Amino acid sequence: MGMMNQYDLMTVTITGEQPEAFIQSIVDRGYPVYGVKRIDDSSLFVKVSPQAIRLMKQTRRAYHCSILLQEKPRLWRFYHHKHQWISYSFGVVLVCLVIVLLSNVIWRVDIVGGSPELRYDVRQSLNELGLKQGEWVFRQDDLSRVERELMNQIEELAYVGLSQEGSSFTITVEETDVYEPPLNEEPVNLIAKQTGVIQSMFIETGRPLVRIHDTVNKGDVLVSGELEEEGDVQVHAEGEVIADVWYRVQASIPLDYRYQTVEQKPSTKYSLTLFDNWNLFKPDRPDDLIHTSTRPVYFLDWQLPVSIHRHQIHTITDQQTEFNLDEQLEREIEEQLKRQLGSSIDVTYQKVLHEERDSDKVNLDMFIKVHENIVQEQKINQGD
Amino acid sequence: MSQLSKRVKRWLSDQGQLPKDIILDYPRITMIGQIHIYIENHQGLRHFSSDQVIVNQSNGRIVINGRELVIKNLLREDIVVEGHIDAVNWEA
Repeated sequence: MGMMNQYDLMTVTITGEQPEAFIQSIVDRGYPVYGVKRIDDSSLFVKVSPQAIRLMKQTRRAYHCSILLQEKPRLWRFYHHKHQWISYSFGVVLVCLVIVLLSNVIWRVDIVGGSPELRYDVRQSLNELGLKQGEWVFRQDDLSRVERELMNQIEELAYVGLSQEGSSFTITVEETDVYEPPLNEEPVNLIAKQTGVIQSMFIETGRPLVRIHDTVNKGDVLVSGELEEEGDVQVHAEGEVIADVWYRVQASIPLDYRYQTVEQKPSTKYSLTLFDNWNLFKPDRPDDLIHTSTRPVYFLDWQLPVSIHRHQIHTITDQQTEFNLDEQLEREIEEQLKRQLGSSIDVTYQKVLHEERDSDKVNLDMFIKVHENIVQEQKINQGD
Repeated sequence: MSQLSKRVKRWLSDQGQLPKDIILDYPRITMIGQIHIYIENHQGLRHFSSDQVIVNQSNGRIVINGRELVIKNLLREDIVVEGHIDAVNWEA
């Protein structure tokens, strides 16, 4: 029979001439009897299992006994299953949590329209932006950010529309015909945009009018678009003319300045807002660069008064550098030149003509020789 | 014949250091003060009232007298009686 659970027992009143024999017959059949108590000469209480009651109902006539259940069994048992509510409520809470979870997770992302290549690109970008299956559902303003990002990232995209239906998204894309600028066939000459000494030339089309080591002035024709002198054949001259060009550059370099570096890799923190009022776990980093994206929490279609914030924190560090070494000065001069003359130049010679130190900066007057492509297009006048 | 088997059993339990209650099929009775009596290896409940419990055993009956007696457990071979126990008698 095994150990009976205390709460499975039911109290029964037995009335009859010889209830002892009746009880003993139950015990002999293998059902234990508990808590036998006399009420009066003809009746007593016993506690037995439901199975034993079934047997008692069958055999009571043979012993001239009547039995009476004290309580309605089902109610009684439920009442005594004291700890059952814990498991019930645990289950209810679990189901609610699962629903909340499933209501806030992107279920599917469909991309409609455009060519398969475009859809593939869009899918890739969406994955990078975090709009994919299994991610948290986005807020509306995040969606417009995604639209913007998509438009920026993919050139062929003419139109993108995001629509949200619960936790599934449909992205409608439209492709542009890529605009290719028509090949410029207009007849042009190439002229010098700076005065300099030619170092090397590479002419694709056109008739060169200068040679290496020639000194040319600003505005001189380098390559003619007219293939023959006084001829009718005019072409779009193309080529590269690298010349030595001199510059005189004034630069002012601070000796000591502060700058801030931003940590490239953000650290991510999450916080909660309840009822638009209470913030929990909000990171307290006023000096740092923080990108915060907010996601509401849904229960099915209803938005709960809870939102989750994701903070991507870029730590900002103040840096202060003093330039008192010549080497650092050099580097700074190079930076300044790149800033003033463009990054494609190739400095071949530099001389500081004049250097003047203030308390916190250096004023430089420099003479620079660079290799530079001096070609500039000029239309051939076809008026006559 | 039964006399002979009884003798053999008694000799076995004496010489073989075997528990007498098992060899001789006697009930084993454990009491805690006057409030609790535990009888193993009984032969059935014969009478029960608040002041008297009679239990069959292999050769006779055990009569428990007392007040406010309650049978806590009644199993096929064991019985636990609680209450105020005044006397435990053997009747052949």
